Amino acid sequence: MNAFLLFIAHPAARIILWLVLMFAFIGFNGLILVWVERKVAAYVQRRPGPLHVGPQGLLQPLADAIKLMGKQLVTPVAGDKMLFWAAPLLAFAPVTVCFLPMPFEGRFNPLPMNLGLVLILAFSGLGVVSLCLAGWGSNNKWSLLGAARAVAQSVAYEVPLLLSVMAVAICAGSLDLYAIVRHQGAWPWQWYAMKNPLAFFIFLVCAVAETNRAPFDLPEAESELTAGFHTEYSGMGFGLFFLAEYANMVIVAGVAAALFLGGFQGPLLPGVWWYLLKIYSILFFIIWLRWTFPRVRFDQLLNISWKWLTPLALLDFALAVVVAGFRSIK
Amino acid sequence: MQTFDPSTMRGDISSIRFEPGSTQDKMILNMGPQHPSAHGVLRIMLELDGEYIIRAEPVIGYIHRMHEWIAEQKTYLQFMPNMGRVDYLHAMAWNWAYAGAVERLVGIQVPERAEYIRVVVTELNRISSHLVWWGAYLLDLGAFTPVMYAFDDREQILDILQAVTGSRLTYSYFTIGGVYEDVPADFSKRCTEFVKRLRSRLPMYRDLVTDNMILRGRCEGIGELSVDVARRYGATGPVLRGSGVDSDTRKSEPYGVYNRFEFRIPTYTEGDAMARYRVRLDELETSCDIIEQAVSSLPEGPVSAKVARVFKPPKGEASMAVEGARGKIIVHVRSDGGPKPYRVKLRAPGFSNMSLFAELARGTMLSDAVSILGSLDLVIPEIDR
Amino acid sequence: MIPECLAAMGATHVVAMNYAATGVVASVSLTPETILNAVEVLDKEGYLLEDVSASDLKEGFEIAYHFSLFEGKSRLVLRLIVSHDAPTVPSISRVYPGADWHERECFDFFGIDFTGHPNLHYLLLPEDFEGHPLVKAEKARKGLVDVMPQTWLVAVGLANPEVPKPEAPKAEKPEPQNAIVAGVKE
Repeated sequence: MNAFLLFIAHPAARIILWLVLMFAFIGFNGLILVWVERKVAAYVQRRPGPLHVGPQGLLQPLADAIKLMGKQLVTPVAGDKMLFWAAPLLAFAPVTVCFLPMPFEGRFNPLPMNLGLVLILAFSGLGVVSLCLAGWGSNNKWSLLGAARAVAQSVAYEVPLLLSVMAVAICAGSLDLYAIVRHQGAWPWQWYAMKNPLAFFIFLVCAVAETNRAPFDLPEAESELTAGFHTEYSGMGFGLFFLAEYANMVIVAGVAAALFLGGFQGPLLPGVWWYLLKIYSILFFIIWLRWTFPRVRFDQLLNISWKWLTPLALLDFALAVVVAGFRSIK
Repeated sequence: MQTFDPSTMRGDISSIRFEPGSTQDKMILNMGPQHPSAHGVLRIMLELDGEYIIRAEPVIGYIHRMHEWIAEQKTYLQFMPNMGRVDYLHAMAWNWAYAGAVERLVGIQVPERAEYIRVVVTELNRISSHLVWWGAYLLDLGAFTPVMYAFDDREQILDILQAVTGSRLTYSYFTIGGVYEDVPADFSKRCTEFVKRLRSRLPMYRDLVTDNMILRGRCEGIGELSVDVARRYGATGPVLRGSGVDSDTRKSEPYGVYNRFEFRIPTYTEGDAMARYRVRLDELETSCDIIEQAVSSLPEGPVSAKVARVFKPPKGEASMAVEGARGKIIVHVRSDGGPKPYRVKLRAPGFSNMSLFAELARGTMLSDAVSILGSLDLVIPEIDR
Repeated sequence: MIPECLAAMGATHVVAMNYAATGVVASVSLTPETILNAVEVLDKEGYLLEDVSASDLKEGFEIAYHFSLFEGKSRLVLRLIVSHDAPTVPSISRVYPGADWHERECFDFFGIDFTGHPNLHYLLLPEDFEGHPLVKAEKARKGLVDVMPQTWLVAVGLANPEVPKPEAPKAEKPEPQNAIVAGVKE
């Protein structure tokens, strides 16, 4: 399995194979993550969680997927049919692009590029458009409120996200995720999480907010908005939103692992396993957060972003520039 | 398949009265009868400007069962099970209010053992009601875990009360003149063990939930209620005690044997949702104190006075006020000398507390309205009766 | 044990009641003209509105307002009677906003019209419900002498102290000078 993809000379064929593998990865991940989420939620709440479908409930996500696929697809009568059904598909589209620059390991790289970080950041911002379409096309005031909240939240948390990522990129001197990973080492004290913990913290908070996960899950706040922007979706439409949310979570966890936790660098095991381990640790942490904290109110959410995270991120960025400048002078 | 044409659909009369004119920049929203955070079938019509509430009007009556009319068709004892269904979370208190009113009317003396048992089961019921409130309130605010812990504790109470009364939720354990049946032999032991266990869990709830920064941001300063407004709306119970008034029916009009126990009435002066939250959590400790004192001094004797099944009280009227988990429960009974009551009026504390909501929610955000609604601890079947 | 403020209400009768037997400390009989003033007196004293309820009697609808203080056994009941044909009473929701919903409930169950009420329409019953459920049939109605305790009847002059229960014909014809039942066409 050496030079896994590079043996395919034609770049288009390589990318297509990569996309197929990625869809498989996303789908499989979705199943695993559903199971992990339900089990973690269950153990936090002192109950066993899925137990009966398969050993320890491992086949439960499969049962859920079959159920979702079998449901009737209902379109709201007065909704905008095209927008309504475009939204879940659009939620999925950026995911595929965002997976391209992810540094699984050198030999898995389908398309060497030196602006991978920019690609990810740009396309992850597109996800909010699908929320807008969903909210508007449902012809439902609750969905509209959810969509409005989602837009404001996404926009607000983009800024500290970008700044914290820039801080790391300046330190590493490159926007290519592979280069940033290679600047770190295999051991924790060489990771950027140790060298720039503030950026790590800011990035994690923004990541949770960008993926609409609790405690920042106001757009889909169950107890206030009856499921917010995806109220009217049933069956596979809902399934696609669900899958897109988990895929987004994997992307941000992947970026966090690459930028701050050393990516595929690690002793003994092949790098891709370390990378997956780090991704899943961050995912576990994000899931754990959801079941512990209540929801933040909307204006408090924006306050946190504009009054706290953005100034801190700016400070961090400035410090990173100074440090990088000194290092390059030396 | 039925199709709807939105242009020809009219609203029902409540919404027509609510939106009299054009609402150019405002949005009319219905937190409809089915909603994850309406505590029962409650509908709130909202006029929103973005996220801010301009006007709020609750519409109730979706679970109105006309208990007051049913009371006139049944004999006094036959009506007792209905009281368990009015507020199913604190059924014992409603039982007590009705039984107490009829006992006042007839002049029955309740035996001492029955009085002590009444106190213990009512306080146990109060704890289970507050636990449900706590879990549901945090669920509204987005924390999915505390409700599981609360229900775990509550399960123990339900087991104890099932051994005593046979039911888990809608108790009709009281009878005119006492309680229906004696408690089993291990009752005192189980109560003491439960109290010990609950007391050991409360610090964890305080550290994990009450002191949580996000929760405090959602509750502090929300829905501030002044004493004057509360008084003029008739708010009672934790809603009133959260505004600084040290008023509890167990101390102001002692009934049963409450005047034999030492207990503290928690009061906080801020008047916001956090104050009401703290009052209820402190009341858990108060109830634990009362239960410990009562089971340790349970006297022997009969558990009910000898009263015929169908009796004719002398003509007159009587009222009985008890402290429910939600506030002051009053039952007024009027008799014309026959076997059935002439008029029974059920005064539900939630009814008065709910009418506060329209005023408290004005000018707040939608999330705050959800928080205020939860902090008022409403059980809609009690409001609708 | 009767509070002094009751004297300023212009009431027709103020009767001290036995708290242990009835749960109230005093019963005040008023008319639709004096109810607003009485309620304002209580508001100044700091009374809390507990409820507004009604009952269907021969003499008319008896509306009872229950008030109490925060502390102590202090429940008062203010009562007044309006006729069946023209059940009109001023609304007290200007003074006590909590009465808004209680009065709507009385309107729902009995059809009593509260003048000055900001939003008098159905509260609990469905919008297409016909009639008012708690209004009794003519022959099932009882009079005040049938439902009030003897001590109260004696105090307001509807019964003589020696005779334990007045004759049925006497109960049907109320005394003309008894202001409680003013408004009943006789």
